[in-house]
Amino acid sequence: MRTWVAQLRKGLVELCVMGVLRDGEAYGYEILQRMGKAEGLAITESTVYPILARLANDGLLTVRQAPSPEGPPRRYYRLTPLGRTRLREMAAYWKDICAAVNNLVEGDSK
Amino acid sequence: MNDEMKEPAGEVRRQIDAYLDAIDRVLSASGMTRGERRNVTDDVETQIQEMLAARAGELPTVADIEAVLSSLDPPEAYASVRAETSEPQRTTADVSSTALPLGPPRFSRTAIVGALWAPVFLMCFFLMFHARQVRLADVPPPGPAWWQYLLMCTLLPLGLAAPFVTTILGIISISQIRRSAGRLYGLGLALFDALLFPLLALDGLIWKRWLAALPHSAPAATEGVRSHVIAAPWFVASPFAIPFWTILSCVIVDGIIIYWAWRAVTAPPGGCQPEAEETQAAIQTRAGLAKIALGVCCLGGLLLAAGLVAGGDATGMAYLLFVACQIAAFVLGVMSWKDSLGKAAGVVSAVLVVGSLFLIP
Repeated sequence: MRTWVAQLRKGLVELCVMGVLRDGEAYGYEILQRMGKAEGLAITESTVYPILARLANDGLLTVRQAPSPEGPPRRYYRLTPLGRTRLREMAAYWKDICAAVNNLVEGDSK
Repeated sequence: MNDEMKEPAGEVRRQIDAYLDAIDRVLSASGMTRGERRNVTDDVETQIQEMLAARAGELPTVADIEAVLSSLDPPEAYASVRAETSEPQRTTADVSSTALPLGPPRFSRTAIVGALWAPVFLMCFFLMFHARQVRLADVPPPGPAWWQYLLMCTLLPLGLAAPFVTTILGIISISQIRRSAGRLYGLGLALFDALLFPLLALDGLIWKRWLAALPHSAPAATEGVRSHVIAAPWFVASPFAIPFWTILSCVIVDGIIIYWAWRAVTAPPGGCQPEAEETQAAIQTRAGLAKIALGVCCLGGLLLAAGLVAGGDATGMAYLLFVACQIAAFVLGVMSWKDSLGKAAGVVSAVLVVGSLFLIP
């Protein structure tokens, strides 16, 4: 069960990261904290930061560096137009999958 | 407790660096590019510093950093995550990278092929300009031997195609290396392939322009800048003037293009420049250089204007000083490119020099 939950969560991280950035920019730790508020996700920095780096490398996110009062400069991530398109596609697919799985699960339970 | 508060910040810093280095090693071993690794470790460092600030304020102790680091994922955790998240959901443009087998990084074969192809053009060039025909008395000259036909059918097409093929292969290999997530290397050779022939063509054009601009044979009795230039000092009238100015121009232009191209191909696509880390002194130095660049650029323009008004021999000399000033302004402008004045000086001086070359009769 734990392995299945872990695999499911990992598959969803990318969608969740992009979902956090849907309404505006945020820096890495901020994204992590916002995702931490979502119960059940239990995502840590070793999952989120490599995904942020890869999404930026793929041109789905832009990065802006700004000074921080707490220490080193913060790196703010923002969705690019390509990233927004990808997020819409992923969200639509997620809804379809959810609906299909719910139908199957509820059908089995009945 | 007081002793703990006085523990040196160096030890805290050392522990942070050791943790970040360990993450970097793990990510490197999993094939992540340097740019991506830096992005990850920068984000981790920001998190550590913010957690430390929230926990201990401005003077974190070794105990604080140990507590913070122990609450974070161990560096080894980044290996499994990288392996699971790097491959799926690539864009269609990344098909080439997903097709690469996993394993140790290897040199880009496309870049090697491009580099091997380039000398074929030079071989053809050499052979074409060394074809000789020897006529013996009344005997008609023999036709090409079989091996000459063979070369014409094989080497010649390959050589003529080399400038295009090498450039295209260079561009393809740059793209492949950048998308390979560290599995391919050889970016320097790929850039060499991509720039070799375009830069050679540009150098040829520069040489041609200097040839037109400076006296290179018997004095021409024509009016205009050229006839005045003949009376100019050694750095104009000397037989070495054209090679000197050509080589100087080529070195500057090629150097700048190579520098920009290298920066462009080595920059992470989604990365950013660490401008926030720049010191105030560096910014002031750059601003000073930019002002000097603009001043030299204006000085060159004034000299040319004065020369044109004065007329006669002064025009040629003024033009040369103008070019020298614009080249200096361009170099200074490029050095202070991040400053808006430097950028303006660089662009204006380049436009003025190129424009003046085409305006010379």
